[in-house]
Amino acid sequence: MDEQFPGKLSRRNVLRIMAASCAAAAGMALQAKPSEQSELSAQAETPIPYHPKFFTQEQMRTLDVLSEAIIPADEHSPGASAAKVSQYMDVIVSSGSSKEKTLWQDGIASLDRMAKRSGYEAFRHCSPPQRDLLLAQLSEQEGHLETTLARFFVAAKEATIDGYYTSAIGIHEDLQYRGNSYLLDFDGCTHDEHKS
Amino acid sequence: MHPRRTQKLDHKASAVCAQTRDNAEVKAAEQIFDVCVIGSGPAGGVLAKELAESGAKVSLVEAGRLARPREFHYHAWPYDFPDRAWSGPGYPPEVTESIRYEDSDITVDRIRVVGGRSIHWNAVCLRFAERDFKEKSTEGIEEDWPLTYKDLAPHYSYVEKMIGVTGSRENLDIVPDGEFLPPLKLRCSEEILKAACAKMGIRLIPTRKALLTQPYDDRPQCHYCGHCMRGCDVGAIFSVPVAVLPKAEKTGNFTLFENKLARELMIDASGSVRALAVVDTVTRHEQEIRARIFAVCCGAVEGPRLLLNSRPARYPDGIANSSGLVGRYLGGHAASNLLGYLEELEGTAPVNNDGALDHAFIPRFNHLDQKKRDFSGGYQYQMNYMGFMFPYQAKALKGYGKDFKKRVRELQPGFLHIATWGKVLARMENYVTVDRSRTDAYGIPIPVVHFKFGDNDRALIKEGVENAREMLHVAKCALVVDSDSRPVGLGSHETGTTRMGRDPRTSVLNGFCQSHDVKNLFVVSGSCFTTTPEKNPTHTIMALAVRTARYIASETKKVNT
Repeated sequence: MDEQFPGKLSRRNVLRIMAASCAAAAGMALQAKPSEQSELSAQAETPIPYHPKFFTQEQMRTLDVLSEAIIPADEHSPGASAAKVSQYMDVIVSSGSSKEKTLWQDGIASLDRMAKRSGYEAFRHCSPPQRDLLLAQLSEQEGHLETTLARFFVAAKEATIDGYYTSAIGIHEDLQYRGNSYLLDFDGCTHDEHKS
Repeated sequence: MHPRRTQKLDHKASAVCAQTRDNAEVKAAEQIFDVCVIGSGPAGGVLAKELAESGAKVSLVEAGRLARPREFHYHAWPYDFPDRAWSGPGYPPEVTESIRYEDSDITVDRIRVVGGRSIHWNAVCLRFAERDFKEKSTEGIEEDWPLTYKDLAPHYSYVEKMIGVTGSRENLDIVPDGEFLPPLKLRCSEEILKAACAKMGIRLIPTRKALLTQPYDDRPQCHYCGHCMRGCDVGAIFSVPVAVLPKAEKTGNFTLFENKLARELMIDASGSVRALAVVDTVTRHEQEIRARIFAVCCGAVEGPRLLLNSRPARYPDGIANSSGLVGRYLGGHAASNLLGYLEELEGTAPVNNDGALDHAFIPRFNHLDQKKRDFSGGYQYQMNYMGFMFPYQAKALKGYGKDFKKRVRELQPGFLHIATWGKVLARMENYVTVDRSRTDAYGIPIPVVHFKFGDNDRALIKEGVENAREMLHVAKCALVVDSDSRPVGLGSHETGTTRMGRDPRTSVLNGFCQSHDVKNLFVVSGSCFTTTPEKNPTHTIMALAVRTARYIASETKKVNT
């Protein structure tokens, strides 16, 4: 499922949302005709590129790599990059306080300095094993937020959690959340061993 | 089915306004209503309907507008919004901006919309127990109410039949049984907790809420989408616009004024209230709404704000305030959350657990033992109203990468939220006042909230959380996301700022929510509570509204005959 941010809504999604709104207003179910469906499918191939509101393209790349390292793709489901968590980070930081903005700006710079001190390139260019080594060090500081980098890592991790588990990928593919639907009845516990 | 149902409800709610909006201005200029009700939440909505049905000509004045059911974000997904949040309507910025907190431990959440908090509540409906009306006699604290459980019991029954309440008969003195629809079924996590509680001698029972588990009163049953607090699109949860106002409208005695913010109450030469001055929040037009009787139903912050902002020469400290207690004794609830992840459910297949948010409830039990405590009052537990979509455990787990992601996933099926809801002692030093040097966007002095939890509140919540932790321990958890036992409040349950009592020197209202000072002025909301037990307040607020309506109707009849 597409992630839906204002700047990167595919035409298909815009049409779908508009059509759904109109149908709801008219009290009718939404059903596209077959010819319209094929047209909509073709439009889905050309997503509109995302234009960051706050971060530079390089910073966006760093956040994309960092968030994917925190919640990576695995055999079960896609990761934070596919869920476009960096775009979520851009949205929330762009509307955040100047203090938050400074933390993210300084944090990204500190992360790159940390990588270079370890003899690597900037974080976004690090290999997966190099990123893993750096994150292991950062994760050790999760309980002691004394440095800008430690505070940034926790902020980035929390934003990754928020962004990923509120995305269609996180909700439907990873957690396989079954709710937010209409039921005729609620069965309650169906485990024989737990029923009272 | 659901868009049509929503449209039907939209129509139902809209009809209330459409028939009254056009002639409301004319009526206001020409008519003297029998009763003017200010605020359209559970108190004002029920009071207005009951009075209209008794034959009184009633005006219902609301600062907000009518929000149609489809305007709320039920059934939305977080990724439908740019910031991945549900930024619903109904919270105009001036509402939150116009409250000032002076060194307070709490936040006050308000909504200006037709139906007030009935639009976005969790609908828990618990009768107060007999002892809850007698704190002074029973526990030696606070004051006794000027009425008893027996006085209110028939009105509780009446409200239950009017709104539809799910529950089970348990024969517990601490939460008296009522007129219930079939109970909600427990989830596996709640069954496991129930078994753990049984080992500890604690009762866990199905919750009681104004939610339909079967069709009732021309409203459909719940479809278990788990969005109870975002506005119910089918009206399965009780709300004023869907379940009450159409009945009021049907009487032909009812006029709704939307977008009319109360500025002040105006008095006549005898000191009685003669009119309510309002400003239209859309047109900025100022007008007076005249009536023989006025009922302030704006809650425990806006209610005292209106009284304190009404300061004719005769009442320089505010109307109905000869006791000096308008705004005093601000109370409510202290709450604290624990999240457990049950070992028995770890890694099990995901199921749809949404239901109607909380299905289970643990009534107060600390009054049953003879243990000597350093606090008075009780606490209850409500669970699983945080919903099941978001994995809260993720922020409590250290680490990153595939192992981290897998652990989040494994823990998710065992999620169990348990919240301690504790009594807050009514104390004079917690209060609402107004700041005359600061006004809102309409030039009306803003309310100022002063609130600090006391030693009793902190000790009570501490014991409640310790017991919750023990329950989770007995139920066996792989992870407990701990709170630090600090209370947060007031859980949208503000009470006590125009309290009832027998003595006009120590209370604002008599036992019928009538001002001791100004006989044609009533105040009905959580603000009239003399004390507040651990139980949710809205059921009692509605029962008081019915009782007050009966009283007004009978007193009016006496005058007219």
